[in-house]
Amino acid sequence: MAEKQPKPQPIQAPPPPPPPPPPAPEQKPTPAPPAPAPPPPPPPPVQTPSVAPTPPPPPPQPPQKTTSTAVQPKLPLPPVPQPPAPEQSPTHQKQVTKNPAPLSQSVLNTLLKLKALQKQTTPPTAHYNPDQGGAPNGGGSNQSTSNSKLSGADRSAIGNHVRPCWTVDAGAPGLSTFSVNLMVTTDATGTVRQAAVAPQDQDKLSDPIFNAYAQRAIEAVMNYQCATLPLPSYMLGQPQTFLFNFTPGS
Amino acid sequence: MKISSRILSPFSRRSLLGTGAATLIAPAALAQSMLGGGGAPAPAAAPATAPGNSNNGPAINVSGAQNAPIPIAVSPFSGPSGAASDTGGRITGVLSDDLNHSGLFRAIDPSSFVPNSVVNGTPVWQNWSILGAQALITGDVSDLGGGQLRVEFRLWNVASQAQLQGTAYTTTADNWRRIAHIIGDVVYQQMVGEKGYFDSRVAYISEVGPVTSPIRRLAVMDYDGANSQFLTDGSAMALSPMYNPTRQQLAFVSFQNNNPRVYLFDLQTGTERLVGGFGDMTIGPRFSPDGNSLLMSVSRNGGAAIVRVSLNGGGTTELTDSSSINVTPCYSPDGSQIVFNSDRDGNQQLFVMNADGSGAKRISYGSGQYAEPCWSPRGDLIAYTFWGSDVGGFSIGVMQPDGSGERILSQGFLVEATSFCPNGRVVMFYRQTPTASGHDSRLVTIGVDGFNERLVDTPTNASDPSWGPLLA
Repeated sequence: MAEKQPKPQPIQAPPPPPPPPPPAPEQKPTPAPPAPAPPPPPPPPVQTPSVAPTPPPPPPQPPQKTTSTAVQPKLPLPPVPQPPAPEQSPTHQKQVTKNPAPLSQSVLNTLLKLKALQKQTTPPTAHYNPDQGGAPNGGGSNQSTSNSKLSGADRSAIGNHVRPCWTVDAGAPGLSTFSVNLMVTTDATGTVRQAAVAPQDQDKLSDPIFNAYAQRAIEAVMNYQCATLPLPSYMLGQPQTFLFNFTPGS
Repeated sequence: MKISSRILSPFSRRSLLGTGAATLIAPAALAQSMLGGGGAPAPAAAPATAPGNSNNGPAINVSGAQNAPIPIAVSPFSGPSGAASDTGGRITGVLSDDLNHSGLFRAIDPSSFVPNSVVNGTPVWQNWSILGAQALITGDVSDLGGGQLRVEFRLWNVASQAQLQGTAYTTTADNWRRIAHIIGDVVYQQMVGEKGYFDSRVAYISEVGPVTSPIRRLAVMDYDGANSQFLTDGSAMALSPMYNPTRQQLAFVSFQNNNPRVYLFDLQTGTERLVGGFGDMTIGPRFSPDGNSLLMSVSRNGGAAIVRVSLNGGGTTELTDSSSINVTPCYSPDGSQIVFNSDRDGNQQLFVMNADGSGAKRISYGSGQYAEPCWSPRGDLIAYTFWGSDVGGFSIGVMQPDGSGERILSQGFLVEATSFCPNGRVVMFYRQTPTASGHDSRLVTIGVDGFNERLVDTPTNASDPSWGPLLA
């Protein structure tokens, strides 16, 4: 217990040891004959980064600073291998679509025939209109979810189903304060097909530690062992979007 | 063993020890409680978290997370034209060891990989997702001639089938191990959100020879024990090395001329110079965060005072008196405070004072003795050595800077001399166990959460580790 420690006394230095056999770095604990201490090797010279082989589709990363290693800009994605051409079966026959109404005078049928004959040489020009209007205070929400269709028991069952796949880094600073909302989309079978951080938490993603936390939440709900959610039967048959909230504690 | 320990306890610390560890806190239980427990049922209905949209209903709450490593696949780096590469195999081996060492990753056993799962540099995704891999590392190695090596790697997210990082490095062929560490740090930062610590070195004391007259030499090695080098020849005993946090420089205690003094060792030039040439002896050096000054203890009049020594010619400032034993000081990472060990209250306890020596306040109150405090680079924890009559051996523990939240990380016959890795996630210390012929002394790492204790392979008995800064 609280035992008073003796005051420090100068330590009698041991006599200089006889020229000891210093083991080489590779040697195992067995003492080996000493050699004069080798000075540390100076770090290898910094080398000039070389140029990446191909122009990078993504913007090049700034070279990382190293003392002995040259870093090249971020690498472009490797070329995507072309899928093999489908092989025709020996019994393959050309499928000729007959004109369903060759004698029809219908304008619509005529247009359909003309369209079928027209070669599609240019990509479609239709696209999303970013300046679209709409009622300024209209109903609906860009975060519309199906959560309101779930009972408390349903939500609990789904949360319990995903929990085994939900992991965190227990040593992450600030972990206990983290919470992330995900917008999760399921297909007609109730299997998660898409998960993304909800708009209200997007601004937190600039924190790389929170970003890693959110990524683990996405991995949890996308994990094949947990991705098929126990949805009530009346919600199957069509895609659904749900709001999830992931917290580390109970 | 550190010199300061001998001064404060010239007799064996074992004699102070009792049995039982009932008061100790199990790391696993702590970690579990921190995470809220893995088995607690989720609330039946969580509050709505979609702001301003109550029509959507409450969110589906997922809680009770497990502390689990990220499963990651490291595909062996290939050579030209996809052929197997010896260097590539060695790099991926070190890289996998690094990731496993952190405890934050679980490198998937390569024997489970499906052959030809990377075609023309692009992963065959289903072959990796079936292994449960969340991330995948691929790469290749090419010989540029003239002793130069080019190593290219890519980090992939398997679920999103997207490349997260792609970088190439050129270096000398014998520097392949460092390339592996650098890649490991890049992966760590991408996946964890913090800088890694693999590309770093550790200073330590190598011990060989008989117990009665050991030869103790200053040594330095990679963090994983590779590339160990001896820096002194053993003609004078070396103790208590400390790595400068901003440059390749060490401070240590040398018994040259049978006079224990603090010296600086320049790792670039291999030269030494005396900086603690005053008092009866100077011990326990510790650098300031900017690396421009040293704290150390100077022994005189039966006590020990803590002094600050400028390395730029600014002289010496006394921060405590020597009416008691004040030793092993350590700066907070912002340099505003100093934690140290003192017996001013009757036995060895930890105190925190301002950097100018004012406002000393005791922070440890356990029923035992505390020594060798070390402040985490993250600033949130202080590691220490603990022993007491109700504890069966020595312990390594951590507490918050105000003394709260004490946790024991590891125990043993003799464990002491803690040092944090550059990002504060891992503590290194040494573990000494008695053997028939003397003792076995090994360096050990453990996560600050109390998990993942691992031995560091050193060529000799080793003690007094001091973890240096990132090299890059």
